[in-house]
Amino acid sequence: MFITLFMACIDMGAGTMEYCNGGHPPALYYRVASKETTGLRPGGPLVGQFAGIEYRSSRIKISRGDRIFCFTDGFVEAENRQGELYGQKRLEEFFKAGVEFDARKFSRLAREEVERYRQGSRSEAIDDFTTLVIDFVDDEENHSYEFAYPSREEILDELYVDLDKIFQSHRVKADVSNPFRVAVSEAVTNAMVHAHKRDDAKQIHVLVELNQRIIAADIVDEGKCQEIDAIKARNLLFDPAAESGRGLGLIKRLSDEADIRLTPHGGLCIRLVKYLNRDKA
Amino acid sequence: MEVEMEIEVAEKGRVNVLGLNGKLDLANAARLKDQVKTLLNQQKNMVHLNMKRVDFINSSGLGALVSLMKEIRVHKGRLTLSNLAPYVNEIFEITQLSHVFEIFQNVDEAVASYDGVPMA
Repeated sequence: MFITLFMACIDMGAGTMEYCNGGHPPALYYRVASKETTGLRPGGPLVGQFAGIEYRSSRIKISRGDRIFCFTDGFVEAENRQGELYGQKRLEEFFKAGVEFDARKFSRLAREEVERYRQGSRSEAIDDFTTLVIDFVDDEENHSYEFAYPSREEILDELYVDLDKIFQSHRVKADVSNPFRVAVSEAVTNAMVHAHKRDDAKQIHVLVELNQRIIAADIVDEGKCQEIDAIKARNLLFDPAAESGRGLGLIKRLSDEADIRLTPHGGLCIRLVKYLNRDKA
Repeated sequence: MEVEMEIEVAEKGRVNVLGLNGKLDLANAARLKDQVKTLLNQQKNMVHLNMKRVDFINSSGLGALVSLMKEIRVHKGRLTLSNLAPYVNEIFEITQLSHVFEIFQNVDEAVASYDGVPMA
């Protein structure tokens, strides 16, 4: 038995990162100042296979705007139809081309890219696809706000007030705040009515994040969702005669990115993102 | 904190004009439905909603309006809307409900359009 390992200690105060790589594919580091990508290469072999090995660590300087992309070997070892590996070099190029994307979006795009590459491959085995994307940003540039509301209708007005305070203090323009407000209200209403059945002992958690590029909200319920696949597969066309069922479609239409996933507790998390500056996003 | 939608009811000829003030969401949808049902119970089936002071609508509000329209049609009446704020109008466009509802620029145009519509 053995494992591969990439570990790092990030010291934001000192602006440094010390890392050690034990036989893991090199994590990729993008330096915004030089626009160059570096592979953070091993300082020793696989872990657990050899006794008495010493691992060498390295220290690099980190700066605002830099990004680290850590991934498991499923990415570089994916094979195409001809049995050719995707490989580190191709992933580096993809990484470099995708630095403008938000970290979550880049993570998703990377997975889609490799899945596309694998299409038609004879190898059935899918090795693990795990990514970790870290962006270095100044604290004062990243703002987050957390709210929890009981599941009753009256809290919707509190929600609007809380959101408006954020919009005002960050000068979020109406073309972003209007759709964002509606989309968040849809997700909160969905949690209240469908996930919690208006049980006001259950709380709806709303986490709003904002930086120079995006405003995002995670709306998390405390329910137990059994039908996430059905929800994801739902037809989102608008039926003019229907009295309900427009919520998810509106969330998708009003957000620049929308994602639905299960929380570790089995509840639903709807994440929606609006770009603050369409040119940059 | 609770901010209920205000609904002012006025009669213009045989048209019952409801001036809505607030956000048309889950919390206020039921209130609007109750108000219209009260009118229908009094055989008042010509209903106009002045949306001038509605600055927000979401799917709960839209659902309530569709439900009202059906209810009013059952009572052989008519529902019209006017004065949609730009962003509210956009939500109607996105959900394609702008083709379903009769939407007028202002209350007067809407009320004038009832001329010649026979009473039930």
